[in-house]
Amino acid sequence: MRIQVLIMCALLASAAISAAQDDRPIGLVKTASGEVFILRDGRRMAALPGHQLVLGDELSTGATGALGVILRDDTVLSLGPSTETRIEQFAFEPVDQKLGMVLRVTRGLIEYLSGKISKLAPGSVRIETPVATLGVRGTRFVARIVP
Amino acid sequence: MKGAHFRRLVLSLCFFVSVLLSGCTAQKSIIILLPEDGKVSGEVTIVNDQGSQVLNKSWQSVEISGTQGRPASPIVLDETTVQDIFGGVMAAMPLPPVNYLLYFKHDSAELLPDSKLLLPVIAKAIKERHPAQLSVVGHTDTMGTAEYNYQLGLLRARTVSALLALHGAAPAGTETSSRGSSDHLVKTPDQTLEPRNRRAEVSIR
Repeated sequence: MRIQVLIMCALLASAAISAAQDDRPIGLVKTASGEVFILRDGRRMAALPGHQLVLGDELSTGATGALGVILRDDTVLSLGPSTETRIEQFAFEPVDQKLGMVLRVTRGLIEYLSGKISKLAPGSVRIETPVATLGVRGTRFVARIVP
Repeated sequence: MKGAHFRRLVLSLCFFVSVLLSGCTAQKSIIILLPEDGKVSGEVTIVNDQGSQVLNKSWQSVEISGTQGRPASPIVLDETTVQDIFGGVMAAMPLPPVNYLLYFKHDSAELLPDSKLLLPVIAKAIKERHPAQLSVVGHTDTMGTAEYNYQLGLLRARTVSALLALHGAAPAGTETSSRGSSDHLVKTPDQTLEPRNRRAEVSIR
């Protein structure tokens, strides 16, 4: 009986820990000008410098918008006008060897500077676009995606 | 009547020219590798059902026409062309995060003279990255007990945070923590004096 209670407690605790990790911010808005938005759980809000980002956030800009963010692994990303992106996967747990990132870019202009995930686990960072998949190995690039 | 006719002619001419222009400037997707501090460190592979290309040189670019066109052979562009297309995006790019190491006197939260000189430099880096997140992690060498060293590491981290505030730094968020003597920069046995382990790691994002 006591063991069952202990196991239950352990399971609940681990569920609480993994939930806490999922909710942890994965990035930060650093620059924002013009119309720039974060779409989270179906709600759209204006993105402002200092806003925290979580997994699954969609970042978008209007015709005059520009947005710059830094992710928790020191990846630096900026969006030009009329751009749509979503952070689909983000794992930065070097101790547990959980490392990876998938960024979807549906349209628009981006600049990307690799962070620690790409350095610790080359080949684990992917940019998905309607025109091609980009595999990123520790580098810096710009892209215009015209779907 | 004559005026109306002329206007119609001008309108149709405008239409013709705009069709021509849009035909010429129909944008393609493009990916361009940029140097970091003057050199390229990694690569980008571009893959779709039609083929794949690799970018591994500065200013090298690959174009893709339409939704699933074959990635074209890489072409090296000049910086001006890239600036013309991507100037706005590049201007929105935040400054990359920076890290500093500060060193302390033995069994003390007092910084060594060289490290003191870095405080204004770090304060400036925080200001330039507004709204900045500051993280300070304090460390010690392996002399003394783990608990004592944990507290010393924490005192070192908090001291650095307070000194940066005195130098005018106002980060949007600050995290101070201690690793005590558990995370050495230089591996040593227990109970060893090692100046390089008496440090604080400062990260600004």
